[in-house]
Amino acid sequence: MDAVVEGRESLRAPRPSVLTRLYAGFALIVEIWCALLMVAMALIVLLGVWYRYAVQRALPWYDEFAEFLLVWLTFYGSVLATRRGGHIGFETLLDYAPRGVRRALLVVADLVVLAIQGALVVYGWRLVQAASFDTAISLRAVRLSWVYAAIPISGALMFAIGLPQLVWRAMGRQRP
Amino acid sequence: MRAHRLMRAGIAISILLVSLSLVNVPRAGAQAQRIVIRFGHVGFPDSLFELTAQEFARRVNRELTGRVEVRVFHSSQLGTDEDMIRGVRVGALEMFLPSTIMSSVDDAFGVFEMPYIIVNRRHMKAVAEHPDVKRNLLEAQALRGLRLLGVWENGYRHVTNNVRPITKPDDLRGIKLRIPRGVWRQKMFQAYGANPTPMAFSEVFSALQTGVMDGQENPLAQIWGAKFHEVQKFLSMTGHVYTPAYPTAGEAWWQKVPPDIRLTIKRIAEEVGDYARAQGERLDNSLVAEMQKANPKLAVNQVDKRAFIAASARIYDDFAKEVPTGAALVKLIQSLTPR
Repeated sequence: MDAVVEGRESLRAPRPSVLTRLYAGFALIVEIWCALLMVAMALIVLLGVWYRYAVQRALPWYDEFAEFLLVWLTFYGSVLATRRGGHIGFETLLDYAPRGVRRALLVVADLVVLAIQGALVVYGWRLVQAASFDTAISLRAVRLSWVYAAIPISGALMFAIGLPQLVWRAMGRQRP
Repeated sequence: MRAHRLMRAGIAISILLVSLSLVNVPRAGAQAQRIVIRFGHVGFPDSLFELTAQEFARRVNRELTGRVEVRVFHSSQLGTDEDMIRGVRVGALEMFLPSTIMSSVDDAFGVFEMPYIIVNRRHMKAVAEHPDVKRNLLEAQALRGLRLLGVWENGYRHVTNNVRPITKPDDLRGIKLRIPRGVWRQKMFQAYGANPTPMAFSEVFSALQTGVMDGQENPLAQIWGAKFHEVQKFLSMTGHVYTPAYPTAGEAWWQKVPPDIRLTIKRIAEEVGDYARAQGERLDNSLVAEMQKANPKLAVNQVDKRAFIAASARIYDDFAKEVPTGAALVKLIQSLTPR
């Protein structure tokens, strides 16, 4: 049935490995998180408009917190984009290159991106520490280090996604 | 085989490109003798901030030629005030010029948000030079990574709007007024009966133009720089708050600067405070006429300041209640009022 005859491969798709399923589940969680952030941002902005025009007593905190959510959405959204390979890339050159060169270039690009993600973690953490004295302006109970934490956390998540992608690519497989 | 050779060539070229892009880094560190101070602020090229920062740069660069170079970056090129607070702590820049934002770093700075507390610029100078203010307010921020070197000026704030001339607090009723972020400004205009809404400075012009907001409040030099007078019908000289600005260095960087240079920079920063106040006064005296020349339909009116002061009593009470050192600070500043 599943026995592989020499020179022919099974037509049935191979069962995904534990790691693949783990990453799929993790991507789903990030996806849900991003959707929640998006909905929350829309609600806060609508609430801000409602209070300004209908209630005639504007909320002091809506624009600051809508901004925080936009920042979070950008960083966690880029985790999702990393997972889907959706970040901006310049691919024309790659399309013309022979397969070996293409693979080498992709590996180099992955290494550079990985280094940047590492920098996001290290310097993001330093920013979190630099912000530890400060609070949000409109709600003093909210610490800004919580807001800034999105930078090292999303950097670490992207690193976790980028690393196996790099290994797979270096080994010559197309997709994890 | 051919593919392999090409691959090796590709890798070599890539490594070469990456290393070339890194060449700039060591070159910047080679001239360690000369200290470069990147000085950021949020004012536009015509603003008092730019004028003052340039004067500071000119004086420092003249007195410390070859040892220190101040470079000024206007129009938030190095980030908003909120960005720059974190920036000077991690060394993204060396100095910046925060004003209202300081009340989010330390509640005590909210005292300069109290309406009509600073009577005139001579009063501000006396406050800035008082040893208690220096020690407990300015120098105390070193604990939070910020070294405040002096007190410059953002200016006296006035209200502009498109609904009616404001002469007493009641005239503000129902007006959608843009304010910068900050607890006390919000409380103050709510007490006056307005509908204050925080909004980013860069969005204000189009908000006024399209009617999203009825009005805003800012010092004349900022109104002029952002051209709000072109989209407003009434300018009311409320002068409700005097906002100082504080030339500020990152504490971690400041401690690495040689002591003699620190002394000189500190002295110049304090001296430029006088320049800032003189220029602020000059702009206050000339800008109203300039604005009316640019927009002949702009109506300017004086206000009943006593009515505004009376309506402000509640904010002072709130401030004394919410900020531990608030009451003492208010008393100290009021005791320095020039006769």
